[in-house]
Amino acid sequence: MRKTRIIIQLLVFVAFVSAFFFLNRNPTAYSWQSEVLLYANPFTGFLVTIASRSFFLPLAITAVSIIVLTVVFGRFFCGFFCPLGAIIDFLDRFLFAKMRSAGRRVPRYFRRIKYVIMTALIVLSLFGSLFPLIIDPLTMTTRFLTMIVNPVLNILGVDLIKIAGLAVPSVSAKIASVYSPLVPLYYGVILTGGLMLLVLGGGFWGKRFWCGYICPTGAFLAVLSRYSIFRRKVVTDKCSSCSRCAKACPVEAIDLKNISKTNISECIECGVCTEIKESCSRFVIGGADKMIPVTGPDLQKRHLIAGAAGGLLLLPVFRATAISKRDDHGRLIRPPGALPEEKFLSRCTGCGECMKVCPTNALQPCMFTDGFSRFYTPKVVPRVGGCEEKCSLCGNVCPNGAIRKLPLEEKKFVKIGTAVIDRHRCLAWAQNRECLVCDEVCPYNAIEFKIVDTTKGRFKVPVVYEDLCAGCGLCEQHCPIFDTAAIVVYKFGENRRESGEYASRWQKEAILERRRKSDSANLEEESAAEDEFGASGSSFSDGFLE
Amino acid sequence: MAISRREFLVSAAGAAAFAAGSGFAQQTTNSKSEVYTAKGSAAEVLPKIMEKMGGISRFVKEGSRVMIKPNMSFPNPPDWGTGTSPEAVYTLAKMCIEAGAKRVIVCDNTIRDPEHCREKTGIAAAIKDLKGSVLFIPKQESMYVHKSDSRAKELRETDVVKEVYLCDTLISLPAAKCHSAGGVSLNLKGLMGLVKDRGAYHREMDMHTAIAEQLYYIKPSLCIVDATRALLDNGPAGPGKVSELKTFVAGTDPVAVDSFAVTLAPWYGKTFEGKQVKHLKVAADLGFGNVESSLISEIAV
Repeated sequence: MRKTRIIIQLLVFVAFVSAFFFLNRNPTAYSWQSEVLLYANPFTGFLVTIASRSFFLPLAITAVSIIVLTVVFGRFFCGFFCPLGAIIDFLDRFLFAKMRSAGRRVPRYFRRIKYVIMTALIVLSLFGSLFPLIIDPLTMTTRFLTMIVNPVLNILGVDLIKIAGLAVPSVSAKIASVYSPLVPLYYGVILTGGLMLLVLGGGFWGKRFWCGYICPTGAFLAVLSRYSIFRRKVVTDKCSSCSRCAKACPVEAIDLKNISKTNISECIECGVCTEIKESCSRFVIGGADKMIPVTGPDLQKRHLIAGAAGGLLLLPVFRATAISKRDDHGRLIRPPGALPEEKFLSRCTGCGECMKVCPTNALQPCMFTDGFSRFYTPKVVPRVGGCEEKCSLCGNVCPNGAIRKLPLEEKKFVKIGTAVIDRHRCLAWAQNRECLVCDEVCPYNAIEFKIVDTTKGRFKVPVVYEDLCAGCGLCEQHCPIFDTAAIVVYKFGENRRESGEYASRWQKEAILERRRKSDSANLEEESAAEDEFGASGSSFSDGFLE
Repeated sequence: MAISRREFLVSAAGAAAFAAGSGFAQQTTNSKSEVYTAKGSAAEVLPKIMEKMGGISRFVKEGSRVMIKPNMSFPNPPDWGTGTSPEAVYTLAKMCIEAGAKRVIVCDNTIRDPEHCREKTGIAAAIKDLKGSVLFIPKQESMYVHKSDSRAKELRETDVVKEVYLCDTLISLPAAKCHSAGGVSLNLKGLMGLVKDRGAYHREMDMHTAIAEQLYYIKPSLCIVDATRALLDNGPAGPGKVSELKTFVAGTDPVAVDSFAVTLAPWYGKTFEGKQVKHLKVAADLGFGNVESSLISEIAV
C-alpha cells in the first residue's frame, strides 16, 4: 500500500502545483477553478463556515465530502492528499531521515498539543478570527508558493535569459522577445519563509512531526476518523514481534507494548508499516472486526478546556485591538469585489491565491500594517501596481468567496477607493511642469486637465472627479515623481457589497455617459480670438468630421 | 506662464528662439518633404503606398531584422481608437516578410499590463500565424541599453530598447490620437514607447523638447500614421470620440508625416496645423524635418 500511496501523493502534489502555476495565468482568459484543491481543505471549510455563519457552496460541498470520507475511511487526506505532507515526506526521504538519531521518540503527550490548538482555532473562529489559519497546511503551502517560490523562479528565469544572452546574444534576444515577465514580489517574505522552515524543521525530531503533533487540520481529521473502517491489521501468524513497524511509523501510532493495536486517530495511512517485512501489517476494510484493536484520539476534557481558554485569551491579540476600530492609515484598499470588511475577515484565510494571479502585482499581504486580524489578507498597494481595469481574476480564484466573482461589465462600477492629488508635490500644480501622466493612464476618465491659476501662474493641471474615480491606483503607480506619489488612493468612497449589483441601471448609464464626456470642454475658457498662426477657425461645436 | 487655448497646442516663442540659438541642424530642411496619403483599408492601401514610394524593398532588405513600433499601450479594443489597428500591423508585417525580412519584431513598452495589452488590442491575435513575426513587450532592465548624446539639451541620456539597435530597419506605425499633455500622439510621441524611463521627461526636462530629441537616439526609416480611426478627445487612453477616417499617411520625414496628420481631424473640437504642436515645432527647429505646410507636399495615392 505504501507504493500506491506514494504514487497518488505524487500525482496530487503535481496537480496541486500545476494548478497553482498554470491555471488562471492568462488574465484575459479565466480558466477553470484552480482552487478546487484548496476547496478540499476540510478544516478551513469548517472554520470559514463557522466564522462567516454562511455557506459558500463550492467550499462547503468539497469540504463536507472530505469530512464524510474521513469519517468512513480515516485520515487518508494526510497520507494521500496534503501537499505539505508531500513536501515533508520528500524532505524526510532525502534529508532528515539521515539526520535523525535512530530510536528517538517524541514524548507521548506531545500529540495532545494539536488538539489544544484545534480547539483554540475553533473558538477563535466562533468569534470571527481566522488569523490563526496561518498554520493551516494547505494555505501555508499556497502562501509559500506565492510569496517565495513563484518570485524566485521568475527571477531565476530572468537571470537565466541574461546569462544566456552573454553567451549567445541572438538566442537571448529571441527568447526575450516572447518572454517578458513582470516579476511579482511580495512583502512578508521572511516571516512566510521562516514559518515554513519551522514547520519543516520538525523533521529533525520525528518523520511527520508536524502532522502528528501540531497540525490543527490533522487534529480535526483525527477526531473524525475514530470510527474509520479502513484500518491497519496485524496478521498474527506473520508477526514476529520485532516492533520495527512501531519504530518506523512516522506519527508513532503503533503502541510499542501491543503492536497489533493502532491509534486510528493518529494513523495517517501512509503504509510504511506494510512494507517492513512480508505483509505482517496490512490495511483492510474491517471496522466491525473485533480482531482489530484500536485506540482513539488522546483527547480529554482538559485539552478542550485548555484550547478554549487559550483561544479566548488570544482574542485580544487577534481581534480586540483598537486597530479594528479605525483604519489607521486610510490606505487599506481591498481587492475589487471584496465583501464588506467584517464579512471579508470572516472568510479570508490569507491563502495568497489572489496575490499570485494579480497581473500587476497590486495585491500584497497587509502584514503588520493593519493589525493581526488582517495579517495575510490582501490589500491593493497602488505604488507597486494599480488594479487593471479589464481584469477580475482575484474574484475568480478566491476559494472562500471573500472576493466576489465579478463579470468585467460589473467590475466597471466597483469603487475600491478614491484618488487624491497632493498639490504641493504634483509636478503640474507645484512646479508648472508638463505632466499629466495620471490623466493619461486613468482608464475611467476620472482625471481631466483644467487650466487654473496655480501659485506660480496659470497652468494645465490634473483634477480628479471623485464620483468617476474607481480607486484603481494606476495613477499612483505611474506618477513619475520619486517616493510617495503626488496622487494617492485612499479608502474613502469604496462601495463594497455582499451581493447584488453595484449600481442601478440608470446610475450605470449615467456613469458611463460621464466617463465618455469630452475634456475639450476644459479648453473652452479662452476667447475665440484666432491666433496669428492662421489655424483654420471653426466654431467650438461638438460636430466632428465623419 | 499663461496658457490660452491656442497656446495649448502652440509652440512657445521660447522654444523657437532656443532652438535657433543652439545653431544645430540635423539635416537641411530647405528641401520639401513628401508625404503619401491614401484612403481605404490597410490591406488595400498599404501596398499601394509602398509601391508609390518605390517599393518596400527600399526599406526592408533581404534577410534583415525589422522592428515595427505600433501603439499598444492600452488594453482597449481597436474601435476605441487608442491603439494601432491590428489589420495595419498585420499587413505591414506581412509585407516585410514577403520582402525578405528574416524577423519582424512588433515592439512597444506598454504603459498598462503587458498581457492585457497583447490580447485586448487584438494585435497578438493578428500576427499570431505570421511566421517570423514576434510580439515583444520589453519590461526587464536588461532589455534596455543606456545611451547619451551631447547634442541634446534636455534628453541628454536615456535607456532605449536594445532591440532597436539590433534591427536593420525601424518602421513607426502609430495610431492617430489626441493627447492631454502632448497635444497629439503620432510618430514622435510614439517613440516614447521604446524608452524605459519616461517619467524623467515630466520630472526633469522640458517634455516637448525631450520628445523631439528622441530623434537623436531613435531614427525610424519609415513613418506611417494609421488613421483608420482618429481619437478626437480624452486621449490617449480614451474612451473618447472616435472618427472613422480610414486614412493612412506615410513618409520618411517623421516631422512632416506628423505635421500632415495633425490636419486630418479636429482635435478637442478645433482644427490645428502641425506647427502649432509644440514638440513638432521644436523637432523642426532642431532640424529633424519639416513642419511648415509649405514645405510638405502631399502625394495622394
